Amino acid sequence: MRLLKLDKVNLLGALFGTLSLCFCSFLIYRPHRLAAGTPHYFVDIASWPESLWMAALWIAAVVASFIAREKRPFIQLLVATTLTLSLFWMIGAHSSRLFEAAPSYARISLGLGSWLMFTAAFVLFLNLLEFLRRSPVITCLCVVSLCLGLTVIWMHGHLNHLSIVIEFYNKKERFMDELVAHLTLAFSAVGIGALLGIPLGVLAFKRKTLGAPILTIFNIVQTIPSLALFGLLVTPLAYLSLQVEFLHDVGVEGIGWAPALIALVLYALLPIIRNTHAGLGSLDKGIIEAGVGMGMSRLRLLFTVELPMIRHIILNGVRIAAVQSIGNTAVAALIGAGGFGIFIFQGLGQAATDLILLGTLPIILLAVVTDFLMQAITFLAKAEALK
Amino acid sequence: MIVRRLQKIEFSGWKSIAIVGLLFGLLVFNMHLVEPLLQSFFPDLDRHLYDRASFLKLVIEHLLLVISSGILATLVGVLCGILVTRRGGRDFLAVMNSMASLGQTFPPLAVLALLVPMVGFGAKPTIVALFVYGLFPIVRNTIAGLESVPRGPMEAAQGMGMAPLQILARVEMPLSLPLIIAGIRTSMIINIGTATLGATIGAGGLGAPIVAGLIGENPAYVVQGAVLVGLLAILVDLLLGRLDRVEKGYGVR
Repeated sequence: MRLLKLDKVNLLGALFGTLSLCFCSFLIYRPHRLAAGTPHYFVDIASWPESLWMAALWIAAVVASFIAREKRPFIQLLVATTLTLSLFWMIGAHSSRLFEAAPSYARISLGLGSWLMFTAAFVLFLNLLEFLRRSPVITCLCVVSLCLGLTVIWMHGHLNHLSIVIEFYNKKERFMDELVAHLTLAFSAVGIGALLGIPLGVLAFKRKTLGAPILTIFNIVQTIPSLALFGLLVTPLAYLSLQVEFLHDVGVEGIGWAPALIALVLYALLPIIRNTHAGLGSLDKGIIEAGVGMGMSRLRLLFTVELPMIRHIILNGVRIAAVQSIGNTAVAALIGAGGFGIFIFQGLGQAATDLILLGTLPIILLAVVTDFLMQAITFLAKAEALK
Repeated sequence: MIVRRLQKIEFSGWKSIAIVGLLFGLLVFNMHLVEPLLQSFFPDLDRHLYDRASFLKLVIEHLLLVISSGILATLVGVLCGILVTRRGGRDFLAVMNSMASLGQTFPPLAVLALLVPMVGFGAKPTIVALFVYGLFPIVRNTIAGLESVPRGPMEAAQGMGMAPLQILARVEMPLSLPLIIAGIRTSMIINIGTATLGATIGAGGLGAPIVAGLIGENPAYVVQGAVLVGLLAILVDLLLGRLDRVEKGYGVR
């Protein structure tokens, strides 16, 4: 067994982080919200123990790439966790220090170097994914310590002087409203999509004559860009709302939630129908014949044998639909449906970076977390189905 | 009856490509033909035809955004896929794969908006966003394609004394081409949609009439842009699907 085997990914990430620390701007100072920024480098603003600490951590990450194999993941994980927390701490400490010496409407945001260092730390974690999968206890410990550390830093009020946090506090109520609007719209579309999509998928499989047209139609719908589909629905819905009083009373209008929800449901249908259809097709004929032999009715067979056996495949379709739905809901803000897209478009309109970030970061986080949770559920369902 | 008839039409055939293409061409060059129709639908509007730029110009702008970033994403994506499946780059395979799948969960609008502070407004951030976003499916499918090449042909090629590069060019690439093309197809379709969003940051293209219509409350503009970009996406999907099929036929032979 070789003791020394170079971990290339870790080395690359660590070197990338070290270079970002030395040569890229750490924080950006702007005299007011929309002004041009001046970069501040870490080596210029940090005291020497701080510089030493951060440099030592990155160098430790580099060195960890060369350590013997068995202990390596533990050391790498420890370094990566400490690095991430230290990075947050340093950002908090220095943004507060910069802020104290500045007028109250000054803004301090993260520089390129900070983003790159977060990316580098993320690569270090990503590299350990295989190891983390094998040892759930250590993963939990790591996640808990990260969350605890972040909570302490947040409670300490350390990050309160960062411009994105200031923007968040300025718009806190609006933020919560849009969060609720975004989640409601995205997930109700996926819920309706699942309620319609699973029966349609079953229908497409059981009646071959219907199968091809159903799949073709929703394949075409999927290729239509989201902005176009939203736009196309505005006019017919405005017309319907004028003609049918009931629809008008329920709040269906040309703009707003109605066209957004319809378009999102249409998008959510394809992955769910396709996976249900493909899942039913992947089932072993023998099992179904056994069910028929036992005298099960077709409906009973469907609900007690077929659908439970392909639960994980359907759930995978729901996952794809959910992630896509969260992204498309952001676009729906353009037709007045609310959600985090509002911050993005406002921010783009004012060229206000903080506002753009306030819209994009939560959406990305929502999409990634949903993806992760759905993957976990799918994994559990698959384990159950194979039992 | 209708279902029967629908069944007989093979939607991915040349006939439907011709129909969609013809309709698209007709609308791009002769949008004024539908003006009476738009007038009857929206009698309250003063203006019915989007006239800030010709539709041909918008289509060209749109295609330039998608194609320039698509070529770049294909080159870089396939190269990345090849590199991480070689012996020297295997260490990066897992990380590259998880990054690509993570990247695909990022909403296109978020990627686009994040680039604005870095690159500015206009076509430039849109091309960068399309490039970055287009990379993920191509990288994933290239890796999946190269990994799915069976051992048999590889060993046969080695036994014949082929050099690694020769094996790559003559065995691995041809066998994984259908999957790579499927990746490019996915990437192109997503990017036609994302390029439409580019109009919100001033990149032009077919999203421009939609955005102008939504902001100026002119549904006629919205319809024109939306129909054209929808037809364009369907047309490109059909064409690339055709290419896919030709390739598969070739692979079987």
